Amino acid sequence: MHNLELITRRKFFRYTIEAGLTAGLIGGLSVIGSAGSYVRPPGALPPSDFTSRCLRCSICSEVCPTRAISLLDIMWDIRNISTPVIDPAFGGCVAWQKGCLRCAQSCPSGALNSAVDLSRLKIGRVRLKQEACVNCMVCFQRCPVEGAVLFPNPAGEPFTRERDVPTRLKLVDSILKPYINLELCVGCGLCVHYCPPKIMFLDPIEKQQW
Amino acid sequence: MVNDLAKLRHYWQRLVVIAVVMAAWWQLPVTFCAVDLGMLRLVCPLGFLECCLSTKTVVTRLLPGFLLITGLVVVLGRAFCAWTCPARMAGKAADYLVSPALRGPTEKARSAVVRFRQRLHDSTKLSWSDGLALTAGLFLGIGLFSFPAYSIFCPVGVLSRNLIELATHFRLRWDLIFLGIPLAAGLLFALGWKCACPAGLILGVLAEGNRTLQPVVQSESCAMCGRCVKNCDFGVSLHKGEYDSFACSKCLKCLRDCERQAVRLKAWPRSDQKTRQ
Repeated sequence: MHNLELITRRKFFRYTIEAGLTAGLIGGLSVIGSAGSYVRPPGALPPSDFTSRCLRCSICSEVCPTRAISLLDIMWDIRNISTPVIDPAFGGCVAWQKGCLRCAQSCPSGALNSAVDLSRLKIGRVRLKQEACVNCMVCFQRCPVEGAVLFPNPAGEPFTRERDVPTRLKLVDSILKPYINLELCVGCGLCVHYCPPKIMFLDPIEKQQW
Repeated sequence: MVNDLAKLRHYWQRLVVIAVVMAAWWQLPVTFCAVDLGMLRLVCPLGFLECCLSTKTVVTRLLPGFLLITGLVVVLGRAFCAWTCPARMAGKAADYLVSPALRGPTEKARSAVVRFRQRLHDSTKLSWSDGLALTAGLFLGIGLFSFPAYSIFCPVGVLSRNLIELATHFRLRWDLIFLGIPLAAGLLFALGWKCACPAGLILGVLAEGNRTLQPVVQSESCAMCGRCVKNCDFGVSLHKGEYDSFACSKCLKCLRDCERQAVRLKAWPRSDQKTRQ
């Protein structure tokens, strides 16, 4: 009887150590790296809630019709490994253009919320290197939000549509270049994906109002 | 019949992998981790528990799918491990590819590894209980730090994400190196990754209630050769008359390997059939 109890106690000690080490390992992994900000698919919960709710099942990247969603690969921010982001290298989000939201509708855990108001949602912000721009106007044609890409008008209000811009102003060597109106830009990344000289960039919104 | 079932298992495993790749190609929500059927969302039971623990809520939208999977596990046992788990299949494939290369000049090294593994097993005596302790620690860590850590390292998840990445973006991911953990465990420990795999252990716990589709030894034709026990990947001692529904993954190897056809699959074994006289 005494012998049996001793073995049980020793085993219990061993199991406790095993469980404690595993829990400690997870704690250690969860504090490595800084919580960066990322361009999440539309309807994503606030960053910390998103990280703890996302199942990393990659259903969102599977159903995305433009293949814009990619999962983050190995990096120091271990908490966010394999969580989805919009990667304009593969495509742009067509939620504002077509009302898509297929990723949010098929998200099993609800880390992406499909009941989101697209007219108030911004997922990122676009940066344009004007000095390298060739005035091809592709960003104008691709942008789903009128007024998010603007072209300066020497005579008054900036142009919001490409067809309004007089040809002499939008020649390749024109000193006037388009610019992004960050008030209206939703960060879908379509212009970034289609930009021929690849001089546009999609950045996350650092302090987003949720 | 038994050989047909063994063949079916062989094809089924490959069919599921192809199905996931094709689903990703056709933009259908089917992965190894979760399947979205509109209102019904079937997710990995471990993923569900992780999600509940790290958000500290009962994720009600996943509850019906979890209950359905629990019901399936009670009926089919942990058949997922032998029939669908892509990590097990990848491990078997790696073994198949690597072991011919290890034969011949490196036979000595191979037997040294086997001896080392046996000595490690004898000194540590790792068992399912250690796996359950590790899983308990995992759940504790997930709850404390709100971080569903295992979903990042899960071999099934890693393979699933890589298959989908291959079908959608025509590239592989660096997280394939996480497969080194189960491979190293398989090399170092006699029980391999099996007794540490939290998903398999959760399935095993759910399968404790399994009473159907069990292999049963017909005592009158059994020659006590012990082949069914020796060949079992999950350490089930069938010929001793014990059926371990926690461990058995219904791979049906015991049926296939028995020379005298003494092992039969019973849809609903009566209690007197389970014990061997």
